[in-house]
Amino acid sequence: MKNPGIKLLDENGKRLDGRGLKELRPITIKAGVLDRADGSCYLEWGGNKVLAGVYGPREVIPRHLADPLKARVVYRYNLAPFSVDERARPGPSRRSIEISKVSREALEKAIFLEEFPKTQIDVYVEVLEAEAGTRCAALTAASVALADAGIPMRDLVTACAAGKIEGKIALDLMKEEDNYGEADFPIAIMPRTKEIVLMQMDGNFTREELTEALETAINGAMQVYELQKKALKERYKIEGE
Amino acid sequence: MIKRIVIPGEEIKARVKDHVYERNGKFYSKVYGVLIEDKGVGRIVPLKGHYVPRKGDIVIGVIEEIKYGGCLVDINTAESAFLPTEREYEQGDLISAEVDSINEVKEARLTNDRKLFGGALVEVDPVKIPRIIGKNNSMIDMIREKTGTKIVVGRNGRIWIKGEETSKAAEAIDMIVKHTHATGLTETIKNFLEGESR
Repeated sequence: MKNPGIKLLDENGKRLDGRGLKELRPITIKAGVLDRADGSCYLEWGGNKVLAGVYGPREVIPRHLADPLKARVVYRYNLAPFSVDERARPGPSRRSIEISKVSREALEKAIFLEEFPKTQIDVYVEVLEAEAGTRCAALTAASVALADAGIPMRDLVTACAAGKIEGKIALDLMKEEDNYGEADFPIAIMPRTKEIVLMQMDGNFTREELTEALETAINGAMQVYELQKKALKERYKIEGE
Repeated sequence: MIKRIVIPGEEIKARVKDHVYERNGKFYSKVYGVLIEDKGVGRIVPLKGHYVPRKGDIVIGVIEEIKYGGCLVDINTAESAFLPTEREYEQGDLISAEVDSINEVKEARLTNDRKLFGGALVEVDPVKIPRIIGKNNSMIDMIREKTGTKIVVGRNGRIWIKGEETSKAAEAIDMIVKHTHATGLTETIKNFLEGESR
């Protein structure tokens, strides 16, 4: 998209919302918000609001898709019609099908699928309000919801994006930066080993910029991980201590 | 004794047998649960979970379908269990049975079936069952004794209660579920059961 003349960085190096280049937007995570789901999470990330629900392991539908060696993960990323400025047409789109696929593959790396043969684990993520970086927000919420559902995992999955604005590498792009910036680079990692489980890119980086962006995004993800940890640890209080 | 909440991927220094995985000589938690640690030895109790059938478990099932030579029984798992029986059951009948064997995709075969007549069914998370039973059945025996009810506890998270004070027994179970990790829970439940019946 062509920049209509918005300056993304001011003379002090501050961004449109007053953040520094390597700062995250405010994030709040709350685990266990839905009664009818096995596990759930509500997450606000800047202007993003996402709600994740996990069901299962349960019977595979349709039955012929059942894998006798491992569980099947169904991930649905859905953008609510009212989540964006111009009404989004309800139902899966080209974009949401792609996001669902890459996010599903990221979670499959973390879950011990072989413990639940011939079953299906459903992960539904609804984006209630979108403001750039929804796939990261959705995946972050989904992994908290999975842990909350009691599903055995190697690690949580934490996502965060880096990008390029006015030729500089910035962490966690907001809407204007995503639209008028030069690059957007979302990644997801398993924080313990820092293994990358999702990586996408839109825009151009030089080799050096890519290295810096990766480092920035991993640093951001580690900060998000601390918040995920906090949300899970604060959900329950141990009584009588 | 130290109790703390662990999340998937968190390193566990204490010696723990279940719910952990090993990478390069170190152990990490697989689940979101409570680590109970005492002198370097510990165990992890998941906060939520799913029933995975094991041989010898007593489960409570609902008859789903009558097949030739037996029935399919819903035992709170993704796949129904098979119960070979001569007895004539009807769809919807409640039974208690023992898990006879498990195949490689964790489907169960049942045996020693008994039909449960009347009573009430309480469903709880399967991870809470050991706490409801207590050490050497202490907790469940106490509830049985103080309320004078018949109780069958299924490992699959289903509890069948029959008797005069069914609701009181169900309330006690509900209390155990809500305060699973509290210390001195047996005392609390005892006081509750001995209190005036409303």
